[in-house]
Amino acid sequence: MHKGVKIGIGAAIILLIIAALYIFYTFNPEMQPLFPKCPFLLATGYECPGCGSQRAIHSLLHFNVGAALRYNAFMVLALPYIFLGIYQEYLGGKKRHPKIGKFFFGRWSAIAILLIIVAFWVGRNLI
Amino acid sequence: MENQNNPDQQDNSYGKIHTPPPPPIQEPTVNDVPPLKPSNWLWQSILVTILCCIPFGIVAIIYATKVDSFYFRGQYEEAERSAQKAKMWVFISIGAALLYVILWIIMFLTGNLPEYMENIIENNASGYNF
Repeated sequence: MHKGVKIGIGAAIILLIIAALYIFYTFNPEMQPLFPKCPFLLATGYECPGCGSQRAIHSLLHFNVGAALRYNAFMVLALPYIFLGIYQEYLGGKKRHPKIGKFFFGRWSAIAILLIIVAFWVGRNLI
Repeated sequence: MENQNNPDQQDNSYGKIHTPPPPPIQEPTVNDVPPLKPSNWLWQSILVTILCCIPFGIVAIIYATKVDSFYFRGQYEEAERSAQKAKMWVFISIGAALLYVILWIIMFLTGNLPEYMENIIENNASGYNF
């Protein structure tokens, strides 16, 4: 892809993220009907692994980690992992720390994460 | 691969008995220089599982786990194909989420939100507004 196009897409994504963070900071998803509700929850009545993320993000932006953990513990715990992934892929972490990348994004960690997500999915609907 | 040498040989060796080239031996070359491991889209698929709320992300994660398993078993083509599918499901998930958000905003603006949302609005109006 052309380099200018890539930079443009990156800038647009960053702007979108900033706008989304501002919206999630200002409005409480629990009170505002503007925030979409999970289609899986609406359709089946069961929570998906991502349910509660919006409220959790709102709580996190207000430094309320306890509430965030209650809304969606998996999301809060997965965030550092995702930042690590972004660092590895876009900020040159792959070259600087290849072992970390192999450990966290390798074969067994992928299977472990799949198991964790399925366990979390089933568990949150049972409890 | 097979026919790479054929055109030149046929042009130059007019009248000679053409011996077919030996069948290409693929296994050793593949083992000597394994292709780069395709990106397995693992963190991206986790991100869409968390944020897009539609279980397509799970499908993406399943393909992401396959990428590395295939790769370390030496099945490079399957690994590449799984990577492509993981990528595809990540983008399907993003697309579905965007579509859903747009639909939701349209329903919000036209006042066709599901009932439970109206309960929230009512509670909000009677309780605390901010």
